[in-house]
Amino acid sequence: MEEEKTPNIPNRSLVIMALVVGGGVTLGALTLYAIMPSLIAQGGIPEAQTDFLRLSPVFFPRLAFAILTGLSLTYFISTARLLKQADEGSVFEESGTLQRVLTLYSIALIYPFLLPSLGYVVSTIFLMGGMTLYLGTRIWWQVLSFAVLTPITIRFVFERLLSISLPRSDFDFIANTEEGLMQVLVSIFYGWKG
Amino acid sequence: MIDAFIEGFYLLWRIDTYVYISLGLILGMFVGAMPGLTTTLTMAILLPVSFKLEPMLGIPFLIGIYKGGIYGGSISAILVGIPGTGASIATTFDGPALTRKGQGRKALEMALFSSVTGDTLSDIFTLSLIGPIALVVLLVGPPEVFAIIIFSLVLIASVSSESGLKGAIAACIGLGLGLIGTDAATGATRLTFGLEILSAGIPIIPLVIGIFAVPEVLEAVQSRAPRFIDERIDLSKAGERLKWPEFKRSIRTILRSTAIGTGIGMVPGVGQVVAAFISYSAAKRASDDPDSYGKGNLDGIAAPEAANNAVNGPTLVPLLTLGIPGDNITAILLGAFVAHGMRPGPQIFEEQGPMMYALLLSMVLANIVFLGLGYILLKPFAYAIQAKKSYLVPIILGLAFVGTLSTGVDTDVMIMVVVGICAFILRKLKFDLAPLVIAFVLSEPIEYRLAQTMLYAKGDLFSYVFVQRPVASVFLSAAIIWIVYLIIRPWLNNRKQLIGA
Repeated sequence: MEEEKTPNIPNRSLVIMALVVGGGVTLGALTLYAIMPSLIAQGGIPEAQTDFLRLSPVFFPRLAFAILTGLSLTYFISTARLLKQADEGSVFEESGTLQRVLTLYSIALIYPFLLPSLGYVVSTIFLMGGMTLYLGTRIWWQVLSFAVLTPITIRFVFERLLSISLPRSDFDFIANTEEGLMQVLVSIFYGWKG
Repeated sequence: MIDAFIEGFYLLWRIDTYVYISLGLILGMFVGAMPGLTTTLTMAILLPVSFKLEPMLGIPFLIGIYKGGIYGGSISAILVGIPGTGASIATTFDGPALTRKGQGRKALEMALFSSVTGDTLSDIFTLSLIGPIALVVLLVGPPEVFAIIIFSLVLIASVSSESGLKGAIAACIGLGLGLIGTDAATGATRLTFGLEILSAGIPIIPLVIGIFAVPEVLEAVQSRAPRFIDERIDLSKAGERLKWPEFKRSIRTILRSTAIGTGIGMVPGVGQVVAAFISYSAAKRASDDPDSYGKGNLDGIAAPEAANNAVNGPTLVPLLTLGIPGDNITAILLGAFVAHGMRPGPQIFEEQGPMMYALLLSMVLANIVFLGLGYILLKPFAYAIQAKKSYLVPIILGLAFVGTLSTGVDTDVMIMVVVGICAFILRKLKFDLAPLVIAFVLSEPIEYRLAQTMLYAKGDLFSYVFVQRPVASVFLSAAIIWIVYLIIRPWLNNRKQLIGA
């Protein structure tokens, strides 16, 4: 395959990142290739798995991982050649970008853990409010109204109009408040049915 | 076939289909107009919504997003010279120049009319040819389908990333991910590491949302700029509307570009960007005044816009007849078809002909809605592209989470988050992830067809494929020749340079 050209990886940080990815994928694919037979769980049709006319369940994954090992090793070697000629520099063009990306990703990472206990609306109020503040909106009533109204609207549209249920809080108080709020919205949009 | 077509036509007599098409078009145009956000992102986060709707609502909804998104990209390309989507890069050659000349309104309307014309003609072409193509495809067996899939995958991997190597790595990772779970041929479970949740394989929703939505959100916050576009939009200086004689002068260009876009759309992996560039240069070559291109020529808008929208319909030909998605968007559409119990492939027109024709007809009729909405909403969309990131980014991330939560499996959210960061890193290293998603959805059909081919071959696979099955042999040989060419190309280039020196 075609080799990487210097302009594609302009600085040392990116080259190192590419080496880590290339090396990691190579090692991972090689390991999976080697241990593939032991990763076939019991089950299925045993006769079919040993019939020489049939495709063994090991064959195709091993083929894919063997090709992946070769390709990623080529990528690793061609990238390693760039290390000496690479310029100093950061992965990101603007300073502070890594911090912004990591903060946002951390918020996204914490969110799934909040969902089971706080439920969809309350967790999402934190998500929306935190992100809106972090991304530069400082007017409190704008942040508050956006953070509160967006999850309520999303929950109403997805649950009541599209029948997609979203997580409820483990705390009865929160779950009941949310449900009550949905009932009010239903009564507004569909008319009160008792 | 005619009966299926007529039945399909009657399936379209329902107002809600058009409501969802309109909704899709509006969302698509809005996100498409926003530089930094893509149509793929919108389709990925709204894919679960389409699952919950009937097929006649959910799939037209996604098709609306697709059509609207490709056109939406031209709005910012014309007004401020920043393409909303890759498909609109060629539109930036003449769009901003026309805006500076006070003809922004004409350019926007030319983009709309040429997009709708290109889209409609290519959809009619698709509708009239897809049935007969499906009948021909029915005659080919598993070895041929296997060979065509391999050839398509090689082509997609080699043209999608900046280097074939990265595309091939992405495709192999996709294949590996797609093989997790239960083997369709033998029933054995593989690569699950004892985890029960992986026995059915990696679900498509968290994978697609993780790959397309999370990296875009992270990329959007890399810049401190509060908006995606800093330039101020002022439509009061956009000038007059497009006049019929001006449009009439561009009809020849639109038809040529539609033909180019339609042809390119049928080849997996090439896509809108290439179609737009080829059409632009073809229009320039054919013009009596090529020097005016790049300085504000309406044909310079008509050509790329007709071509990039003309790609939309024909991309469904390999998808529906062979089950091969040619790009990210058709890979997502494949997910939607499968979720609605329709497995694209040669037999789909036999089994679900009326539904297929209804969906294809909905694409044609969607263009009428597209024209109306595009015309009415041009101004609001032009101003909407200045929306603040601090509102848009949380909404997108919030919808990405809701989409993943809609599967009802809590662990899917973690899959999305983990896939998202991996996709972000790969995108930083300039990997195009289209081959990954396409290989992921094709891994099962590839293995299944290979298993069938081995049974037919009765132990002599090489002679069976390369001697007894000429069609399969042609496609596999073409794939091998293409791979060999990609490997020796750098060496050939070096040699040429040495001889030149």
